[in-house]
Amino acid sequence: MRRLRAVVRKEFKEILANRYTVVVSVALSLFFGMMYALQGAGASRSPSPASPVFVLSSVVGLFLSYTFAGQLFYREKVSGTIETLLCSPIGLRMLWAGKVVAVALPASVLALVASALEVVIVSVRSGAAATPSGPVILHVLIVVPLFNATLAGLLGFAQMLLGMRENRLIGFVVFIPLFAALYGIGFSGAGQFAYGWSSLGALVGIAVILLAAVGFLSRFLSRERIVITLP
Amino acid sequence: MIVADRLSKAFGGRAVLRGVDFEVGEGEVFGYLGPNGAGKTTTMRLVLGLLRPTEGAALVDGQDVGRSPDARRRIGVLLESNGLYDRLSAIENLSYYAELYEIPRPGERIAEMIEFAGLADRRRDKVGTFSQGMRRRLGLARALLHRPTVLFLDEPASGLDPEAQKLVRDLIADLSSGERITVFMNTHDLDDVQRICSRVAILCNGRIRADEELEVWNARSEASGLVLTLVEEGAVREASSALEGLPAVAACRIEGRTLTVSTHQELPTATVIGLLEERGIALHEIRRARQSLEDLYLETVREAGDDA
Repeated sequence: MRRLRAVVRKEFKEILANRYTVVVSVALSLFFGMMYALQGAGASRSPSPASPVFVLSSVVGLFLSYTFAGQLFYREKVSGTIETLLCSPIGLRMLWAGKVVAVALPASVLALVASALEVVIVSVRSGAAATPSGPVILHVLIVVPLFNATLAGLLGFAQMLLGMRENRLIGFVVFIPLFAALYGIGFSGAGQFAYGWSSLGALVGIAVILLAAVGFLSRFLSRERIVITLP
Repeated sequence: MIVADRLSKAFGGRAVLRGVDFEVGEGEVFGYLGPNGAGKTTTMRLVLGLLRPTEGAALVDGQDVGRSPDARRRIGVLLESNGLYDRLSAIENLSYYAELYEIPRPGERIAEMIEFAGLADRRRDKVGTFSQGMRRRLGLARALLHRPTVLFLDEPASGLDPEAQKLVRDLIADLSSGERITVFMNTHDLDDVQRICSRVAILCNGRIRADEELEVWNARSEASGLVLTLVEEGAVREASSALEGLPAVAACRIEGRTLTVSTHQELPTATVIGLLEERGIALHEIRRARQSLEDLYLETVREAGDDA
């Protein structure tokens, strides 16, 4: 556990030391929070911010997980420091897990900040406290971090095992369309979606299964594969 | 300490290493030489457990480094990237590794190693602001932070100015002689080899072509050849054939009426003079040619190329 903590702490330091990433991440979270509150779904629905918060927190969390994963996994490979780390006593899965935590945690916190901002703006505009329902609050606190960790784990796995070109291709072909689709769904359909306990239960179940699947996938991480795909 | 036993590696059917054998003993500084693409980095990666051999095995202290965290705790590595993070300070970099290696009382050891790297006044600066030489020194300090017994170095002096190169060389020499650390060093730099290695192996086309103590290389260098200048150019081919018949002679090279004779062992000038006199070949001049390590290296590489 000491080594896991060391990896998480060091990765946090690296994220915080990159002012560009910090500024862009915070700005994006605030921007998305305001956009959802002031436009699209925010304007066409009742004062309850439940559904937009559900989509907003997911979009922001996943987008930032994608951004941070690039910083922590991809950069480690590009700089070549991963090779030195693989010669240290830390296990490969432990290293991967530490990075996953370090990606998912700040992404989830910023998703929470974006959601809170959206709730505040909706409340101010409607003149009444727009408190999200219990399932939505739990969604932001539990489901979003789980999905963030799942995406971070999956991206980390791919970025460690695939070559640089394949990784860039995945970014263009898979993730950018995925975020565009999520963003579109947030604006078009979120206002009509009722997020209740059953939705929460289903999503927690899906997130846990996916995270377990990614955890299982991490068994297939291999030093050799990482080393031969170094740039 | 380090053993490679019939170590072979192929990538997609292309053999990069073909049955490499060597043993490096405690306190030795093993220089692993070879041209680009010879397989030096692949060998180091196999020994470090970063690649799995297609055949054979590589062990450090009897253990497979890739499978044993304990073995990894006993080794230090300095690869091309130095293993440093540009956005973290010198202290933060070493603190990270101190935690990974679970070093007791890390503060003291980190301060000691920062001092060792000569970076005490820059310890809180980001590594991204350091020069190549400073990074290399900090990389070496990082590699030694957990007091390894075996050190793997990949081109330790590459990209450094002459002053920094000397500093790094001196540090490695001190580690070997003072702390009995075993060093495995990939290098192109023959100067490095001559100054700090106790043994040298040359790898070409995935095979070790020579593996000797540095003293043996030096002895070969001392008695490595003769240069003969004949009176008549027409006799030079006959002289060459006659000399090539001697067991001490490795090869002869003709240039006009000059004949350069490479030898495996000591070849007395009297033997050569006698042989030429028997054949009626008039000699204008004979002198000893001392080959540098570079000449011997190039000769080995050339011979390997001819064999391939």
